[in-house]
Amino acid sequence: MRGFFREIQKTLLRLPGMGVIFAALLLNVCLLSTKVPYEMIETDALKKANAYMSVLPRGKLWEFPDRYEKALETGGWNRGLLFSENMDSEYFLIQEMKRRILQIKGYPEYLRNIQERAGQQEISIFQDTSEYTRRNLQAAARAFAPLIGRQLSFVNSDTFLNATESAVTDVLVLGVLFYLMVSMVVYEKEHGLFRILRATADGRGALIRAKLLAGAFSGILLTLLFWGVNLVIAVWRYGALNLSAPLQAVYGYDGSCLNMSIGQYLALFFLSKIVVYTVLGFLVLLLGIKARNTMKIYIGIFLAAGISMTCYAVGAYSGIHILHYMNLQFLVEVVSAYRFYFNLNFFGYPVPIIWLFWGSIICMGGVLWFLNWRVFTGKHFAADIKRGWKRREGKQRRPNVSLFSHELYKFLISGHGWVILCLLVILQGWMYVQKSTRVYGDEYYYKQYMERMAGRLDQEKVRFLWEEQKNFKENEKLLEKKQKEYEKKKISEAELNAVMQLVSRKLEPKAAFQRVLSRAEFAERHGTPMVYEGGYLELFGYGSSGEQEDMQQAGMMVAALILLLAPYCAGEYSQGMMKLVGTQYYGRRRTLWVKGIIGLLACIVVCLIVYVPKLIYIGEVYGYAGILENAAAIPLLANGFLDGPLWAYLLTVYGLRFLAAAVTAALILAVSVNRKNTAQAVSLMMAALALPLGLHILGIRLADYISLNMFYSVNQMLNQRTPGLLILGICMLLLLLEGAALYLAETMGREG
Amino acid sequence: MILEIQNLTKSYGKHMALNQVSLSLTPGVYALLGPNGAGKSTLMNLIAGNIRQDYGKICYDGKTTEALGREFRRILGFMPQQQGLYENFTAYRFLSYMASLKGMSRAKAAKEIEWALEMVHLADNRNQRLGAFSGGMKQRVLMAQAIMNDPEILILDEPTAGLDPKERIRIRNIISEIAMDKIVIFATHVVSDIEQIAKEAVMLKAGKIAAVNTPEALCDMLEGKVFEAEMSQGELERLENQLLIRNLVKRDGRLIVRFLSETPLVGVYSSAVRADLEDVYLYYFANGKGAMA
Repeated sequence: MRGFFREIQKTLLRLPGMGVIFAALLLNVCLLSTKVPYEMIETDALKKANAYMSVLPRGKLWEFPDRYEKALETGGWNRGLLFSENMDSEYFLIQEMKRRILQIKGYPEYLRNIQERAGQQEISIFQDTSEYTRRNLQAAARAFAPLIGRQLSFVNSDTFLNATESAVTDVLVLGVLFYLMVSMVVYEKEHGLFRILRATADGRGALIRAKLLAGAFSGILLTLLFWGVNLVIAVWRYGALNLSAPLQAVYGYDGSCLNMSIGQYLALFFLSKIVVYTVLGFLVLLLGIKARNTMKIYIGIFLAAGISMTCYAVGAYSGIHILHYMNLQFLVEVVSAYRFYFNLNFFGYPVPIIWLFWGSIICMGGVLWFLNWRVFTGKHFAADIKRGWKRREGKQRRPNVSLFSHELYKFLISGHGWVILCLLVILQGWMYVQKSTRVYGDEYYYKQYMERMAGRLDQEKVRFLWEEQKNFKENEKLLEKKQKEYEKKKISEAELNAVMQLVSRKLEPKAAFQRVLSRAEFAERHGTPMVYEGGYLELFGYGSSGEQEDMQQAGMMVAALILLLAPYCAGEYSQGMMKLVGTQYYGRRRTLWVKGIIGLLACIVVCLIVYVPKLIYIGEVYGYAGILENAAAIPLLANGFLDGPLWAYLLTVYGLRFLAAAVTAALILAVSVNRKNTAQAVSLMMAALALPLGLHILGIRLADYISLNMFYSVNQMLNQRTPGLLILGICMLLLLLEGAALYLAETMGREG
Repeated sequence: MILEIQNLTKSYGKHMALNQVSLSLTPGVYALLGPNGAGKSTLMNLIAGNIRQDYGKICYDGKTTEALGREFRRILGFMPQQQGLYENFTAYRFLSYMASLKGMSRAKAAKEIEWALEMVHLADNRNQRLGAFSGGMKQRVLMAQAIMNDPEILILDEPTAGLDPKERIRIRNIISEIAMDKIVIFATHVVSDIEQIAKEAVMLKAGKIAAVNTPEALCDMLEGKVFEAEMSQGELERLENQLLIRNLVKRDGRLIVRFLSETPLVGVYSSAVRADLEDVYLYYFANGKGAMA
């Protein structure tokens, strides 16, 4: 036991280990808290709807969604929306709830079908199926038999699904597990400690047993921590969960044959995750034990992951299903084994996937336990390890004397810049992958109209507008007429409802058409072409998110630059390396120059990561039609002082943002050189640059006037339509840049 | 080749780190000897150009180092004291980086790195991370980067600090081997380092030069001032305030005391002995009671 506690102390109870767990947990919390499960449905609305539906009696539950939907469509609901802030969102929410209720309602029928299909196999006229199919159907009937007669009620599926299905959490847990298991082995190998330890009484079997138990403990801890937090976040965001309800009440779990409640399933889920993570931990430990250099550990992991993902995909799309189910990805997911009842064909006999899951994991666990013990206690155990690639002795490659190359290495590898950049990519990816690329409601119709009307107004387009207007008027007249007929009891309510439904669908684009008309009037008055402005308004701060998104992006950009550049420069001073570097031939001006280039490259990369996804997203959703046209074609931009094509406007905005980023980088370098301490430099810069952005996001605008906020957004400046302000702003930026550059040249770059 | 230091003065706030220090150095090994805070590192950093003096100048072959700029740094090799290194660099990568800073071509860097690694006996550890190096190995890596590219002036700030005797001897041998036609200045407060290799010792005390001479001449200056006497415990207790005691050894129940004194002791038989550098150090740098210089 002492050995076990020592291993725990060496990995989990030390600062690096705790730091890694904390950082990963924090990232998990941030990502899950900002997850958007449905683009068109607000999270609060989901929470309200789940709470409302969960308490409705069965009879009312079946009819409520249809009744509510119809009332909304016909304008018969005058109590305000029950769940969402807008009609579109409410409509999508109702459709989603209807799907879920349909599953619950149809469940007894579903179970009956399973039994009937199995029963039919006994009747001779149906016995044209294969032996395996017959066995499979009968096995299914047996598996679902205990569930017959079960009554399902409405449960909060969103809490359940969000608590148990998160690929991000799996990736983070596996990353932390990898770190912990590797650190159990690599440190001792690097320092030659295994030579001493293995020579002691408890240095072989007992030691490896302690490490394996520590690995198991890590699996338990990480599962409870990460998935426990997921459950808490899910309950907080989506509402409480009825743990005593049957599992099959959860949306999408009707195909599961597990005869248990939600609470029991969660216990099974946690246990499965613990076992899977533990076994994978054993695998990483084995790789660490076997490896003679650290690269082999990484290569081993990537190979294992790559083969697993390939088999997962190949198995899914080919007939070789076993590949899909007998690999690491399937095991890590866990949910796939329980969600649907499925059998694999083993020589004509159906084998339930759950058996395969548990059989694989237990076998793997046993084999890996044995292998770890065998290799570690064996004669051929590699007691040492080299970092990096294994180099052939006696053949040293020629030295790299490129200063740029070394500085880049320091920036990316020694300073862990690659980690910051990867995190930035992940965050950006996460944000944009959740966004829908479709437009809804009025904007959808408006976009269709504007695409039709793009370019200069001509006879054909004017005729189209006139005809469309005529159509709308005719439909309105028809509706009016039918209402009068209903009042005079010439038609029934059902007839009126039918007409209302038809007409309301035809009148849906009317609001959008009105916008098109006013745009056409503007175009005619000013002699400008018709340009669909949806995307441009989003980019220039007039969209639904306005400047908020600009500030969020700027916040990410500034934070990334600070975390990248401050340690890069200040770290060298606090280490004392600059004392040595400064005495070298190229240790001053040339080094400063190269660091400046690295800073500039960092700016470019960060700006690309932060700003390009939005440009791509806008292109996907709205498009860039009319980008060559003058900005004056768009009414909101018409009175601005930037008179030029839209592409030039775009270039101005992003050019100024890049200038602001470059100034930020220069300031960070200057402050880092001045403070000579990473923590101080980071704190100062965060306070001076990132904090005002944060305040703006929270709605406190005071800081805008004493910070660089306006320069990061640029739209804030341009939309004030004051040329003087813009010129003053650019001059300020250039002054700051020059000041920082001069300071650096005087301190770091002084040759004499 | 001559390095002249003229009236160099540097202060940090109210503390005068160096006060009107002047030296003229020609090819050879010079040891800077002095206690902590004497100004050794300040002098080294001033010569290396890491800090700027308040007054005075440093000239190399008639030109100030400021005017020479990076041309001075081209002929300079500097090994700082207790240096932090890039932990995840290998020794080879680190020396490649230093070679790039020294402006070497790839071919020359390959030769110089191999030679330097051999000199400091780290050829077998070239691909090991610096983070896994012991203190002595890190010192040797720093020595290796200092001697690369054949510098004309080598400044070594406490090169043997924290090393065991074997490592210290190794470093001293390296210095001796490469110091033929160079100006080597090394700071130390380990006197045995000086005895073996230094041409001249510069005694620095409280920012001023207390003495500059060959080790032998410094020892000769203490002719008739270093004594050994046999005395009882009681006699020692009676006399210890008057004496600058260098060494105390118990032998056959009697105390053999080696001490410094301007005049022989009265009442106690003592014999004059030849002074060594430790005596010289004590003579100049002992604090409080009994200080003689």
